Amino acid sequence: MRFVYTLHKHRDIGDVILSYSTINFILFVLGTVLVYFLIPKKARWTVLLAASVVFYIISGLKFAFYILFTAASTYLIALWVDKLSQNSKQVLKKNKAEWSRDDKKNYKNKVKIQKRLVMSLALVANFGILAFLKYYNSFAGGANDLFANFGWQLSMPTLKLLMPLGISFYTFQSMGYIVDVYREKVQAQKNPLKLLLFVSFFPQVIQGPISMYDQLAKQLYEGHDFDFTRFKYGCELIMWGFFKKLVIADRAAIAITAVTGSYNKYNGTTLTFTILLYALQLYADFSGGIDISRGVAQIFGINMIDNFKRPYFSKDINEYWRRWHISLGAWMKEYIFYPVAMSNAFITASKKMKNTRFGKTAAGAHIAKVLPTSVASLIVFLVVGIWHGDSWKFVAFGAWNGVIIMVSILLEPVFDIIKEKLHIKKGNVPFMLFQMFRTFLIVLVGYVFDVAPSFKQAMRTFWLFFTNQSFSKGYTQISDLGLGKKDYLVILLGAVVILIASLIQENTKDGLTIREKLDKRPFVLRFAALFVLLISIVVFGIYGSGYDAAAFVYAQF
Amino acid sequence: MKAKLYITRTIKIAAFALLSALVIGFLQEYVLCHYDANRLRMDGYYIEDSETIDVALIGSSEMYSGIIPARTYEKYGFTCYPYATASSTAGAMITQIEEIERTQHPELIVIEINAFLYATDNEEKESSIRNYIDNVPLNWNKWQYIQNTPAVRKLGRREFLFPIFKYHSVWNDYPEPWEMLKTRFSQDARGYTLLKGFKTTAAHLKVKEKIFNSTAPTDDTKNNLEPRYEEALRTFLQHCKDNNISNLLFIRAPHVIKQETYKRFTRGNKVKDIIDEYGYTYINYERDFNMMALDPEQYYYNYDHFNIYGAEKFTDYVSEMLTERFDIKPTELDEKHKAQWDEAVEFYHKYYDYVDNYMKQGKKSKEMIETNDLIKKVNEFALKKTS
Repeated sequence: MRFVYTLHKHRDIGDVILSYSTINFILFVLGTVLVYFLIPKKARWTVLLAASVVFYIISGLKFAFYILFTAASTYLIALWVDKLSQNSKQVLKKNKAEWSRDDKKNYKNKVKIQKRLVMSLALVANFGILAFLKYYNSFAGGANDLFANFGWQLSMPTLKLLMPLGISFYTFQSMGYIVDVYREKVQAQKNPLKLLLFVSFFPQVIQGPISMYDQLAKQLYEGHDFDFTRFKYGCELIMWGFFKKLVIADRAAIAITAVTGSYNKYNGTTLTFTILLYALQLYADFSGGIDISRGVAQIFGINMIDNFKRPYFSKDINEYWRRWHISLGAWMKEYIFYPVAMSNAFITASKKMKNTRFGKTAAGAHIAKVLPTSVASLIVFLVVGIWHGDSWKFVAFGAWNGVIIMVSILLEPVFDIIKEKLHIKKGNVPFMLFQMFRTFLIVLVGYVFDVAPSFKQAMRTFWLFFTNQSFSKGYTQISDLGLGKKDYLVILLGAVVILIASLIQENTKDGLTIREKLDKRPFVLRFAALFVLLISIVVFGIYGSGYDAAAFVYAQF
Repeated sequence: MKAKLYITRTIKIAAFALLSALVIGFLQEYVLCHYDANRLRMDGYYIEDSETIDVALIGSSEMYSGIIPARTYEKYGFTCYPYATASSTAGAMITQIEEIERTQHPELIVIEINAFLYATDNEEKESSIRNYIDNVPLNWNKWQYIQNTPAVRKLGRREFLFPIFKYHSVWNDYPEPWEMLKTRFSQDARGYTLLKGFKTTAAHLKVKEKIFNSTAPTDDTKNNLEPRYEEALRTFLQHCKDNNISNLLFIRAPHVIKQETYKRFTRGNKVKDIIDEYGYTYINYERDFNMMALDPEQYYYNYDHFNIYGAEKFTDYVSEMLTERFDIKPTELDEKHKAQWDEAVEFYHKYYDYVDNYMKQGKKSKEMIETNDLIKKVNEFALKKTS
């Protein structure tokens, strides 16, 4: 999520010289592309590494230590864990004939504990740094309040902490890699520079997507030949990303920032409008940024995971989270959800419940079956909420999503019965539309926690939705948010363009992307489409000294 | 087969790039730019055919509101054009000289020294810088200016090289700039302007404080220029000397001097010493205020600028001096250009009548910029008057 009111707190991020939405970044990419394809294939990964290091240094030299620490600790710990795995395999092989089954099992368990301990060194250190930077000051503030309430003369100092660029993303990605090595899903990378490239690959370091090692690493290290079609698709994706970011998201951000800057001033109608606008802005901003990242990577021949699949078409909240910020969802599923849901404690609890009297009933059997999944979902979303920030409103955001998912899993049979009674068949279009609308409303409720400055204000916003609706006052207020009628028209037209593109993609039967479909059209049509897109960005984009362009939403995490 | 594919691909990419550049260039030049009188005047200068201007006028607002090109042509036979923009900066002077030399080769270049007399930091003001440089077509001189001007570097050179980065949001102001855009198209299609860059404001100054003009002719008080402006003036003079640019005349236009601007007047006195050092001529018209019999309330629309009556007076005074002292010999214009200047004279008379009538009616102060709308009104007024 993006928390608009924090935009100004994070100006250091918005001011980065090589922010993805700047001309400097385009020039930087062009230069890197040129060098990449000019040098021998085998050494091409070094160009990506050099570009990533330069990118990070230019964007904030003072933060380079953090990413270097993460890369170094990840490299060493992964090697260590890998060595333990390899040694254990050799030992087991050596003693295959002599050791009993129990001996082998005991040995395996011993090694597993060793590996876990070693792995946890990296996890604690890296997540510790992330948590410290994100939460220390809030914790200190809370503790000081507590001390004062008790009348104690104690005080924890608050520190001037700045979040290094993309720390969440590279930390998550690196820790995912270590877990994969621990699980022996991948082998540890022997070359520290190659690992540094995996951690710092410049198109994704600011805001993701969070890639898995087995999906990304090989692509990074093997040199790719220049491919014109790929180059063209990459450029088109970058342009589409720029359109979403500069024309829609940054324009909408002006109004949203105005509201969050004086939140108490606005009535229910304006706040409703702001939440709707935020839904568009957030999607355009984040997906636009990801499109730029993916487009850049594609030019180099690297296919990064698509982070969005038309999330607002989701028919339930579970589906929404499979379509929104897909790489974070996949990471959470792989490294938190499964370990929790499949843990001995949860499996045992489920089994125990099954054997109770309640567990013998139909409802009880269902609950016992889905309990690990639903509780694990709640835990995952609480983590997601806390990851977003150090405020109760984020906990509420996570809890809201977690509880909805938990309830939907638990009550699934009830919903099935209702659907059956109402004779609603699968594929019923009006019902599907209703589901989409319902899911969108649930998502919007979550956004209230994002937009409101605090949990209390979020609660007040819900109250105002029902008690303080005045269209005439709302109209006056909306007209005074820093955007003119023409700006709103541009936003509306932009939203329509995104909607049409999304509908085409959603209903595609041939599995082709819009770019691939466009490629099959006559030259003039392709030419016109790209030309209109380019001119729209140049004319309607929010950039240049006339505007204070917003930082990428997810860059602050 | 592959070669054919590469050629087709290259042609397609080149076509896309070319069309994009053309459209963006057109938008930058005509549609998404900052429109005001400076833009129309500068555009008017660049559409003048080369070798048709006898005297080029460099400086700030004093030049385009104080000297009437149609009148110098009608009464004194020489053509002139104010290559001047509001609050022009000292740092732009070298570029201005080079641009004039590149485009016109006039017999004389008259430089109003206002840019060197500031006490405040006009060199850093984005609007002052942009008033000029945004209206210069992209060429080597402009490139050099952008590269070498510290304030431009600070503001971001890219937005000066490609002003669309700065002004692309102007679409939001439409239809307001529409009138200026239409005027720009008209004057470009016509190939010349009617007022030749002149602009006046229809108003009379109301003097509300003590003024020092009666003592100015004998007041020799001198105050140093601000160090950065003295340096800029010396750099400029040295540049002209090094490049053998001798056809220069430095002037100070007469202002209504009040307490607040008295120091500026004394700096104007000091400028003479510096210009003399480099062997150029400087005429301080502030000291000829009484000789010109300038009544502030009759001839000025504010303390620093003449109204149309004052402009006529000042134009005559300067032109007489130029023809007598500097022996300006007008270029023989061909029929086409003669017709253009005759049309300018004819239009100026109608413009004068229109402004005069407006002022006599005691209406509120109004800028009289040569827009299509104003041309139409002036012509209608003239028609009404004759019928």
